[in-house]
Amino acid sequence: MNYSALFIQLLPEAVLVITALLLLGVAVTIEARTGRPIPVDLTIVISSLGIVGACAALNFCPANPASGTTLLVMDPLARVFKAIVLGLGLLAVLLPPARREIAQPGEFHALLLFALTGLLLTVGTTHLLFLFVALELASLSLYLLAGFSRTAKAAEASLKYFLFGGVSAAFFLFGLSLLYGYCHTLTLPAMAAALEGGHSLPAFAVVGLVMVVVGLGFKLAAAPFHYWAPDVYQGSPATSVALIAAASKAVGAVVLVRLLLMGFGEAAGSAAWGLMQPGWSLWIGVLAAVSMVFGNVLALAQTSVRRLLAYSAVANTGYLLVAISANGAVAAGAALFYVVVYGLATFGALAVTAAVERERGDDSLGSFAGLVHRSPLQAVALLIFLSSLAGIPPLAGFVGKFVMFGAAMSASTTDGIPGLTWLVGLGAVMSAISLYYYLMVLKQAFVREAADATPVALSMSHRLAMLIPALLLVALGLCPAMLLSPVTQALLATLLGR
Amino acid sequence: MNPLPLLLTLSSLLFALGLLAVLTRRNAILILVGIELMLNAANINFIAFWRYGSVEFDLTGPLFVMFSIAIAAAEAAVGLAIILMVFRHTRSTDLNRLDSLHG
Repeated sequence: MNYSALFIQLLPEAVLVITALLLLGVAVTIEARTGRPIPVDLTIVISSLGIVGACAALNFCPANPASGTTLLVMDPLARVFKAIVLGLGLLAVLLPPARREIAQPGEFHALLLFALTGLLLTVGTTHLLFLFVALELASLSLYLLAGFSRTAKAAEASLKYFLFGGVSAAFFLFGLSLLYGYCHTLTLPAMAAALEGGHSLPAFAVVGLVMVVVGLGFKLAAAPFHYWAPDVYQGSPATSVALIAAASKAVGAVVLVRLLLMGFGEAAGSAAWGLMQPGWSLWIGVLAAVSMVFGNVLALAQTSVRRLLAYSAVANTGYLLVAISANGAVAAGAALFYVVVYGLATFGALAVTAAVERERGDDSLGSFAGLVHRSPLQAVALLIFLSSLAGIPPLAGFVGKFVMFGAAMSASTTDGIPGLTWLVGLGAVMSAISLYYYLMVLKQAFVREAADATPVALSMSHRLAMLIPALLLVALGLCPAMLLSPVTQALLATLLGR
Repeated sequence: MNPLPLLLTLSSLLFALGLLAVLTRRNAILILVGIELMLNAANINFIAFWRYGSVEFDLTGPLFVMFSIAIAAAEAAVGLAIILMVFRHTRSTDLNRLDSLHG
């Protein structure tokens, strides 16, 4: 591959990096000329244009399926998810950082673009060295974004995120080294070829795979690797949390699906009740059960809405791991659809929380009292987001859960007996429990009276950051095929094309 | 004698030591040191598997180690910046004194 071909392959990432550097230059120039930092609105406009440009550039990338030693892959899955990650990133940019929190919006948004670049590269590779480098680019930017505001809370959240992230990166790397030792290759298709034949993995390769799964479990905030999540959600700037909760989680799910289904399909084992066999399917199933129980039960006790959303993130990771543990392409496609829908809903809920917080000073449940009188738009948007998270029809969250659990059941059926009933049943029960804490927030917003009913003023982009996900959730609930079939088809095409 | 098992034992020990440091130390900088130990244990693995296990000539092992050393350096830089930021607020790098976030 020559350099011009490489550049075209990397065009979206190149656009993002150039925009980030441009943004830094403009920020420095303005600060030198006027003595004041660059206005937030300008950085939002520049970075949004960059992201839209990157999305447009995506169309020029030629298809490049995974083979032999390719580093950069542009298969259908990569293309769909690069577009989705850019979309989620654009939403995060639209959510303006609070002026008193972020003193340097230019650097903040530049870092955000670097994090997005890392996430895009992570989606578009099947080479594990490249995957590790790209993941670290994204993670290191996210650690800094998490601590960007000048509060003690953000600093603490960032340190915890960093320490947990560093340990999980070490686990991931050690796991990769063991897998390299067994397969003598680092590309997923070659690994799958090396594993073919159905003989079981030796112990050290099993340990390697477990360690890799642990590393990704951190990224997805699966229990018991979730300890950073509540603190980061509570202490970090809302914009950073939005990126961590939506885009970074979607990428984590894509990497997990790619790694397990594309590379280690042979080592799946089974999580079916009564037919359990050691393998990643069983570990993922156990992680799913622990995450669903932990996340939902701990969320019940929260009084801070941001912490509540963090535990809801843990619980939702559990739901999507159920579908991944079924070890079927259709179920995994449903899980990837769900992670996007979940990302939209959580992003929206965070945007509303950020608006309330800016007005009331904190994110406790009481701050939401009487939201419907203060700002009907926000209250209705919050209703849509939380109902979607709880899985109430006709919103996209309901369709997502329904399709995902259904696909998990049918993928795990042997001799007419669905093997994953225990996990799906647990998921259904836990979803019912989750209704309680989502409704608790909605009760504050709709039933309780506000102490004062002054209307809330919001910036244009903040309003867009609530409206777009709300409309998307309704639209995807009424017509899920818009997103479900492209995602599933992309995954199927990618898996068959190897 | 094939030294591969010996090298793998060394790297596992190093990884375990690093993990032990992470779990028992309460000072953020010492935890960072533990993480570096864990990363370097993985590097030893890559070189060992490449030198004594590889069937054909390729440079994947050493290449990976070059990259991972560079990333470990970047990670240490970011980590120290974050620790410095925390130190400005709390005047300490002790994790037990970080308790402003709770439910």
